Amino acid sequence: MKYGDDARLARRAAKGDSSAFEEIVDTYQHMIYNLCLTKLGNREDALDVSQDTFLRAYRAIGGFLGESKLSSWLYRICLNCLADHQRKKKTNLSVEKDNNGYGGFDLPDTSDESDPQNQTEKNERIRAVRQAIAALPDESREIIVLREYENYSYAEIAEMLGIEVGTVKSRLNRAREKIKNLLEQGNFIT
Amino acid sequence: MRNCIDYESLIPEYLDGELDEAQKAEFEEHIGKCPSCQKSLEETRSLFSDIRNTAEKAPKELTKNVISHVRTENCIKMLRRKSIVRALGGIAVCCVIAVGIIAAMPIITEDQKINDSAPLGDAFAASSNSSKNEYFSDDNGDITEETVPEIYESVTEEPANMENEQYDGSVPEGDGEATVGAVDTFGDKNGYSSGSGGDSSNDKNESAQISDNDVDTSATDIDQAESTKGLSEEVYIDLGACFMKEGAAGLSELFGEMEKSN
Repeated sequence: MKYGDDARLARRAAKGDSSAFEEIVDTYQHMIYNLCLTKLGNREDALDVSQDTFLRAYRAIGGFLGESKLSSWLYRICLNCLADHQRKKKTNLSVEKDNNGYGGFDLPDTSDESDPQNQTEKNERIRAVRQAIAALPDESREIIVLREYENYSYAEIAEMLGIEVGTVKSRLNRAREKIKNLLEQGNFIT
Repeated sequence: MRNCIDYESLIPEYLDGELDEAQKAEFEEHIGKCPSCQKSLEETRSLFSDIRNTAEKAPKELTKNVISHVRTENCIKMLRRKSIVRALGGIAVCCVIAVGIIAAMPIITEDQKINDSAPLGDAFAASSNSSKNEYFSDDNGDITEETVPEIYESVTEEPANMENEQYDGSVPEGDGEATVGAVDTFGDKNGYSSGSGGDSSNDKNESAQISDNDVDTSATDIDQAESTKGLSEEVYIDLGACFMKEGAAGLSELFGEMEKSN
């Protein structure tokens, strides 16, 4: 989405045009949801925090001036929501840790696979990669989500995170290396 | 001149589409003739694909829930805005009414002055010979001590001789008790209590005597008073209707006609 589109949509949403905001949610829902999911490792929590992110964004959209990209703005709101969620979780002693920080989220429904053997292998592979991603530090995981899931360019990620393009490149390489190493340790890469 | 390690380090950027055209061409040229780098490229491509495969689509209820909340918030905002507008509208209506009342005050005061002035008294007198007395006696409670002599003087100019006697003691309601009260508004409240108690023997004040005299006056006076009262009401209705229709100009026209007919 272009800067101009971002600003136009945001202005319309700020005036109470819910269809404009729906367009924003449609565009960025996967990015926000995956950021939350990789961080929290739980779909229910990821959905709650994603909803919270968009609702906070809607209430504050009048303050979006279009100077940055809407994705960057939403990303920052999402980080705040995640931090709030983590804070609440820490105070709630009944909440268990998710597999020592590896993220114990379930596999997605991939029932379109015709061969059950292939399906099982694929599911195992996905589970392993997810665990590897969940094991990354926050800054690496965010970069993986923005680059691999959302296909943002280095420059866009740099703007979103407020860092240099070179830093994006090095963090991304480190993150990928770590995932590769974790998977190799688990004998997933042949 | 780059070696294989240099080209392998470019693999992620190549896959991410971050190499410029010259770098890309150089990289592809090397990959085409280096099996080791080709293998590295395929491994990395597979890893990236695996990572991408872990991405999940956001559940459908995410958009649905968010938009549902947003619409609810919009409704609440709208209702708040409407209630504010309604409140402001109410205040505006009150202000308009208040301004209207304030604006109408001088007209009403002028109207009252006109009613209280001698020419109006004359005009009423023109509508009926006896209505003049009724007019003054009806307004006894409101006329101040200063205005009474003026009106009285204007009335005395009229040809009817009986008016002077009726001025102080006329009985509009045909009730002695009420007359005492009416007269006493100029003087003593005791007059009222004695009148209401019916025991006026000890009270020797003048007003009581006058009222007694007036009660004794013939029933024709009372009838006359009642008939003039009816006429004055008609005049008031005419005045009101005229004022509503024509404003102050219409009123002065009506007074003019009354004087002519007189």
